[in-house]
Amino acid sequence: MRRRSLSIFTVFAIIVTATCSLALSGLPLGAGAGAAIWPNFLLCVVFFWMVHRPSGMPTLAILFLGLMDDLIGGGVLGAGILALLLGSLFVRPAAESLARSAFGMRWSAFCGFAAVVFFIEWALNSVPRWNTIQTGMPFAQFLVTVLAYFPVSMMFRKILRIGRT
Amino acid sequence: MAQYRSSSGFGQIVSRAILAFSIVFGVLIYVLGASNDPRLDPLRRLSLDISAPVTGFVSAPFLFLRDAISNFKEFIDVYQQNRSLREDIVQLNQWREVARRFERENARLRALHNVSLAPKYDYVTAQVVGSSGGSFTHTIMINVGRSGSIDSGAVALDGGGLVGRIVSVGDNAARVLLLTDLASRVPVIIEGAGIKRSEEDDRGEIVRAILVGDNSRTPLLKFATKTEGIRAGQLVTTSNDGGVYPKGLPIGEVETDGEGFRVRLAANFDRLEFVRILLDRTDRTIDTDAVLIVPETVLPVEENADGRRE
Repeated sequence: MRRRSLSIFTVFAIIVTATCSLALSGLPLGAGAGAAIWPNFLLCVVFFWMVHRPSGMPTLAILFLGLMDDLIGGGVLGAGILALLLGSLFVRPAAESLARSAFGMRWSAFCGFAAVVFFIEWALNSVPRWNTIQTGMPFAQFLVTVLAYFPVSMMFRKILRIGRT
Repeated sequence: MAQYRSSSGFGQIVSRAILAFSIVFGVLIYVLGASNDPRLDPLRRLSLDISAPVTGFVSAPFLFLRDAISNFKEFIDVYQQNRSLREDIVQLNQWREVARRFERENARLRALHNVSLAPKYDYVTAQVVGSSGGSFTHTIMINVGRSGSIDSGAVALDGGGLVGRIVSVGDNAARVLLLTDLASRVPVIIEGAGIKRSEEDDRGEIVRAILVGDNSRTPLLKFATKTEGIRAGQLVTTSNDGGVYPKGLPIGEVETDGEGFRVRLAANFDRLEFVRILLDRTDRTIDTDAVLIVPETVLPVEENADGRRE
């Protein structure tokens, strides 16, 4: 009943995609409210690997990626960690059935995962400022992230030959 | 599907323990981060120094593409731009003569009145290498840190006006909290909003307020000392209350939205490529012995020989 070990190529792919997703989240495409709405690629990467290679995205890896995302983003430290960890709690038990299901189902699950993560992050960033963050920009980013999952997932399948989509 | 098989009892206990540890660790970091605990500063500095060059490297092709599109757009209307620039040059030449006259007059008047000038500021120019990306915080990363003599609290400007202030500094990178961020508070003066008390009073009472970021493009003006004289289009500048921002830095213009007053920022946040960081060169070293300042009322009272107190 041992878990299948990951190939070196898969480990390399996970590290590269996670690093790129972190670096892409900090692109200087405008600043503040004038910034272009840019997808949160880290969510796409974490969800994809959790579903298709769960042993490649263990809890400690999510903790590390959440911490790095918080540090690079400059937001409230810990908000990203908790949002990703709590979001992963919903995905991990269903990973096997999601990997077998049709892409539409997986995309819907990703919508739910992203919604949970964005909501928790929104709440945790609002609390220390004693003010609620406007929901317009987070909602727009949520939408582009959901849209971005399709090409990200397709690209991973083509390049890495894993998953059905 | 071997990778989905559930692990043994011991394995499950371990994975649950790791999950519990991770959540507790996350909560601990969150509590420390939310209270801006200085123990996390080394971690922030380290991440800045590591992520700034990586982000700069990864973003290079994207920025090249963005610049190419932007340059192509500018190339298309180059004729129109050229005409408008020529007109601007004629006007600016006139203004240059006026400015020179004012400068001479100013110097004469300062000499007459022995005016002591505000502390001199120097500046260093930095490139914007990253932004917060997320929609919850509004910060940018710049490629100058302690090696460029900048420190936490320094003020960042672009060609138009104030951009924000430095909140975290690494050796070769720093993070700027933008005016639009929810955590940003700037004491400001609204120029020309003071109601004149008499005919001789040419400026009227100074109207102060706090510029409060709310993650929108136009931050709010709150806690104005007087709202009667505030009108759309009035200039908003820093007031130096609290000593963080030097006095008189341009921020933007007042805008009304029906519910209150907002500020249309002068800085170009849509295309923020370079910022200037003001360096305060005021010498703040204390080279004299400290003395206890005691109110006069509690000073010992000496008595004369005839018993009278002085």
